[in-house]
Amino acid sequence: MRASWRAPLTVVTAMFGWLFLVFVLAALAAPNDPNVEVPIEVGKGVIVTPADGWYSASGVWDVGPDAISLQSSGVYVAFMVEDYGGTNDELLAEMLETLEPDFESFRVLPAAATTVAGDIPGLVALFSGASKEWGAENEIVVATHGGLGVIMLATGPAGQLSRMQADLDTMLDDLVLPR
Amino acid sequence: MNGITTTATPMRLARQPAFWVFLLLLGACFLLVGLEQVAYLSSYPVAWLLSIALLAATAIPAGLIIYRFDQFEPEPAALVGVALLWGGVVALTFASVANSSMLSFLQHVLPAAQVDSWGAAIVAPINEEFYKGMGLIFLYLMAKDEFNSVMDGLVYGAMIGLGFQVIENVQYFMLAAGESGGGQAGPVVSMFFLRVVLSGLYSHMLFTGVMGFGFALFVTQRQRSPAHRLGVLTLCALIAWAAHFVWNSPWLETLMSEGTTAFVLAIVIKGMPFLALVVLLAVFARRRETLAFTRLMATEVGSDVVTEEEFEILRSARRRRQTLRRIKRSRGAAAEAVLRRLMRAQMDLALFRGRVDSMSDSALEAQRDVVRQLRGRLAAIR
Repeated sequence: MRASWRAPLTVVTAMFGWLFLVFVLAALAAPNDPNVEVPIEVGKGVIVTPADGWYSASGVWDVGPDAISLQSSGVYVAFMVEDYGGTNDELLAEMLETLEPDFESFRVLPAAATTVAGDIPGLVALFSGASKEWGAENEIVVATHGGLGVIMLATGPAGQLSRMQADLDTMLDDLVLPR
Repeated sequence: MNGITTTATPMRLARQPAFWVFLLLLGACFLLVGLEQVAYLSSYPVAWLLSIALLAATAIPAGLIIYRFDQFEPEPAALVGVALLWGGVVALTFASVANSSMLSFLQHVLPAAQVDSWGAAIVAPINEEFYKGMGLIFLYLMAKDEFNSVMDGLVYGAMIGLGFQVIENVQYFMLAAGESGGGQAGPVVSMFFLRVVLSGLYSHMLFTGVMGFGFALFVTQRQRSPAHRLGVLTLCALIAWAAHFVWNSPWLETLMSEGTTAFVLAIVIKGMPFLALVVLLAVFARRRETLAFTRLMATEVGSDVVTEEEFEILRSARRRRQTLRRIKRSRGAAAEAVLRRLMRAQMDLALFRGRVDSMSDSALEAQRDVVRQLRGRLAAIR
């Protein structure tokens, strides 16, 4: 091999070598997971399991009793439970009415049907507006079941909420409600 | 044409193995970056076109300013193009893949809260500075002759950083457009304000510029000991890494969330020390260039090719501009154009003088003739 080819090929080898090294490191570490997602009781027998990479946001977002808050990658989510005898539509309307004073130009997209805890019907709605307390994108999910009302509120900067949507869906799906 | 040749003309670059290896890497990486851009264009045409327009409006002037840092020996356009492509295509592609793997590694060895806060600060500086730095080595392998001073490294490093920054910004703008529920233009303009207007100065141009300075010192200052040169190179690489780390770190996040003024203040605190350092390095490099120019021109000054007065004008960019403006006013645009060429030819004398052994080298004589001809043409324009 001519010397003049040796130098650039050595540099290319270093470039691919580094890539290979980080691949190997990632593969070796893959079985290890320091973030053991322990199920947390929200209250009244409702249990949520944080998705991979989510951790407590209690230091940032104090949500009071029968509620927990979590965070990941700039997105915050709160799960709340309360005694409630109404319907999903009523709970959603009440929650939105409570949230509205926090916003200027409060806008809510039409609610859509969803399910939580596997098969319990719920409603999901996205809302936005100018607010000091809330992020640019917000989501609310409500579900009533067995005399309980379960609420999930999520907030994040523009674009970030949709990135974390899969995690939110997983946590809603894995939710445990007293049956 | 004169007899002085450099390795940086397209024809001579084609004889360098490093150039062909670069082309192979570029082709492979371009498939990924190009496909990504096509996908952006088809999905968010308004946002993509707006991004390109906004970035062009800022990156082109930024590139010209960097290009003009080296006033006595402007870098060849071909090599500047290689530097931009390396940053925007090759380094960005390799760094993206490495960043994903390293982040995955961190997520499996550190608590989520720490990765959430520090992941970008740990991963990006290591991988991105490494792959941008490889570009400097490739440029050197392609055209060793073009690395004459620390200024060359500063310029090539900043150009690599500029290429990286532009394409990375397109990615950020498209991400904002894609994940916004609103129109396409709003998120792009917001992100442009944040990443270019507010923080554009403290970014990849700065990081790689510092590294380029250290690299050029390492390869050009051969009169210094290898340990000294290696020490400076290592220090510059560490500063580039540290500047990137500090910028990506969650430090001052609380301050940033306390309104626009506090946000701008936090950005200034994080970026200004490193920006000041780059400015100092640029001033240092420019002074060295001026000293080298003076030394190389010493034998020509006072001759029929460069008078004392012309030499004083050539040494200062401001005085050159003033002289050009003055002649344009008094003798018209044609005279200004010839004078501009005359100044360039006179400054090239210093460059050529540094590449030949003898004062009577035929290439140097040819360049002196070019100066004399231009002087004659200028005198003929009344």
